[in-house]
Amino acid sequence: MLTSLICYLWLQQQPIDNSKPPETPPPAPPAAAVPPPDVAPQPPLANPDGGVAPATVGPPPAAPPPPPPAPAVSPEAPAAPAVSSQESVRAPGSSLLNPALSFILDGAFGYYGVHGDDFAALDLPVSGDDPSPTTEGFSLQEIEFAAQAAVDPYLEGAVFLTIPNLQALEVEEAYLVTTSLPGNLQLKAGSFRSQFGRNNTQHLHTQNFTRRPLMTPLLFGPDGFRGPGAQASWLVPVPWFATLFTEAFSIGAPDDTTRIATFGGGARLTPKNLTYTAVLEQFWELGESTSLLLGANVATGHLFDCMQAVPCDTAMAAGPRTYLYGGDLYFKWKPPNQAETYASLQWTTEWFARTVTSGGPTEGAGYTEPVLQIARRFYLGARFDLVGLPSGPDIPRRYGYAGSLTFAPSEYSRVRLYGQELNGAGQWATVAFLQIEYAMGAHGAHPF
Amino acid sequence: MKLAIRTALAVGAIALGGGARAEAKLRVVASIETLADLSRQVGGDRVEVTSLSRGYQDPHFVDAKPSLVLALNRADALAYVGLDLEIGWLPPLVQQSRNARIQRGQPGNIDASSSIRAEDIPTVPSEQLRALGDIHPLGNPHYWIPPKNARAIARLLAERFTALDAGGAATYKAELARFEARLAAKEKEWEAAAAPLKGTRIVTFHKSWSYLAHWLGLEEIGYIEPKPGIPPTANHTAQLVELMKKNGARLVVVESFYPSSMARFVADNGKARLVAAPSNVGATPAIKTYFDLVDAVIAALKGG
Repeated sequence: MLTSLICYLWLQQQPIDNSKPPETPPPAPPAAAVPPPDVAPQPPLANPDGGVAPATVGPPPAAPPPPPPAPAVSPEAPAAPAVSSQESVRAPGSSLLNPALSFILDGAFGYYGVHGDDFAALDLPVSGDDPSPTTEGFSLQEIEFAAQAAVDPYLEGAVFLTIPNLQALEVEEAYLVTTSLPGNLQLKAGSFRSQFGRNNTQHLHTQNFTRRPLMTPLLFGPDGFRGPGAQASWLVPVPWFATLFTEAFSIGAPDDTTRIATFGGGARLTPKNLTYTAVLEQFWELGESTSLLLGANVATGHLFDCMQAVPCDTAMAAGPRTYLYGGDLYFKWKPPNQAETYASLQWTTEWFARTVTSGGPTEGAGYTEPVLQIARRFYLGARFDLVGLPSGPDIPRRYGYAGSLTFAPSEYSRVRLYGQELNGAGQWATVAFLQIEYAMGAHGAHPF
Repeated sequence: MKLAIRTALAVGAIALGGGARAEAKLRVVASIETLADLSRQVGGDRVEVTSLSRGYQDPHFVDAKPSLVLALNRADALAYVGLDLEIGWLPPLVQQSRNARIQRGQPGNIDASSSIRAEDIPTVPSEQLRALGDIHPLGNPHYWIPPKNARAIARLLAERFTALDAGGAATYKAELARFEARLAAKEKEWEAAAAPLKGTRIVTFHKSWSYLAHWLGLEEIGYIEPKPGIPPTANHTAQLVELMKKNGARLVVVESFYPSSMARFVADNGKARLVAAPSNVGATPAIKTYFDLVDAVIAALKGG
């Protein structure tokens, strides 16, 4: 849920910031990034890795230091803060102000349907970051490039560019977040994923399954519920965690004009054609190991409908007002003391429905997915998708049964086996993928 | 202006001679329980301290529960270990806290590592760092046990508490002096108690005992993790056991939050004694303060 607050820069790749106490405002020039003379050269890195001898690159740090700059520490602090020797392996000043940069790659090998047409017959759209059904076999499901940094003392910024299925460069998110507004308020602006629901806030690489839930492309759109917009959120002063989000988006017309879209209808010339959301997130600790996150969500905008008139003028394909609403529930059990067990359980359930006014249908879909951590590096997940609850002309009844087994060799790589049975209107399709995922660089932590 | 009012109120309270406090306590949130205790030692009854994690938790992997946002939202100060120890969970919480007082650059953002000299700063090119495992690019963050570092942290805390709560300056100065006096006495006691261990060769689970080893003159010869953050493998364990036999390693030191079965296997086969040591205040209910923690660590190292 909180995942669209994803990721921001803290310490990594900012040695200067970290090498000084925070109250010294001006960053030291590169020459100052040398230990004062009373600091002995660092001892060589003890060999922590049973055989890999760390190679040293760049000038050795033992050169006599220039006269020390005025120490930026108080007289009470005896030891000068250590200086990262990473600086010694970089060209002076060149990269010290770089944002935290990372690339995340998801590759997949697999197929939709035992027979080619099985999947197509079910008429289920796929999410933009699902493996493409038109390029089966090997596919590069997504490449994400992330840059995250503090913009200034008041703002943090992030840009997430993605290339799904080797098709085109997309801006998945690019936004600013305030850090220091009064009144428990926070503003976010740019193009970003709506806080709506839980899965919708997440990037591909934080998921435990190779494909997004079936409801996502049907109700939220192939790229999820995201777009250029602004968000104001308020930490509600109650004894438990409660945050209220309100958002406004300019949702554009969908790429695929052969389907209706919940939002994106009408020229966005007036505020009445924008899409508005309200989300209330609440969190309760049921015990030291057990907790519950509950989201209540409602959004309204105009239906995009090009089905009536051909050819369709997408800017004017304004359908009636639509409402999208539903809830998301995230249960987590994770004992804090891992010496007792590495086992944990995360269970997400979401359900959403769309009501089209002016006599249009009400249609909905949802899923439930428990993910069990069965060992330190192994995760076993199951997902049950129920589409068409209630069903209607645009969202017929479909069922999905998915399982995934994930092995994470380290925090930065994953291998996943994924299988899914899809069923509806007398058709069955089997989907199976082997997915591999890795992350390079400094990528900010993800929220709960 | 605010400080002036606070000072006036504090002076007024002292002038009235009452023990009653005329203002709210300084609310300090610490990322680990040892920093929480040091904050209490220095802050005395002027501070109200909470810890975001428990002492029996691996501080690398704390769940970023939204409930922790509430404590951060109300905090006047956030004390954290730094050197990326909390990078996996603290930054999103601080962002969600909507609390300007604890953002980086504010006096209420207390990076304890800014007071100490970091060790084990990797010297490999940055793009090769992850080949060494989940290594901390800014240096080894497991630094809070040696008295030298605890003293530096306490001084930093006193300095920041004074900046945030000028009315308490006298209290913080007195409490810091009291802490340092006790620390000096205990330091002698600990060093005397651990003197026989000097030169002892040890193996540890994670590279989190290096500062302690340097303080007490222990010699680290290997680690049960093949690389930081990577679980032990059979091959590495076999090599480690051989290395231990060849070099006469006497102790296998493991934090109490790591599973002990592999450590026991290594200790038994390497002919060494297993030391399940606390690394944080709160690791067991009996360890309530920094002094309890170091007492317990030295006792565990000495054994029996």
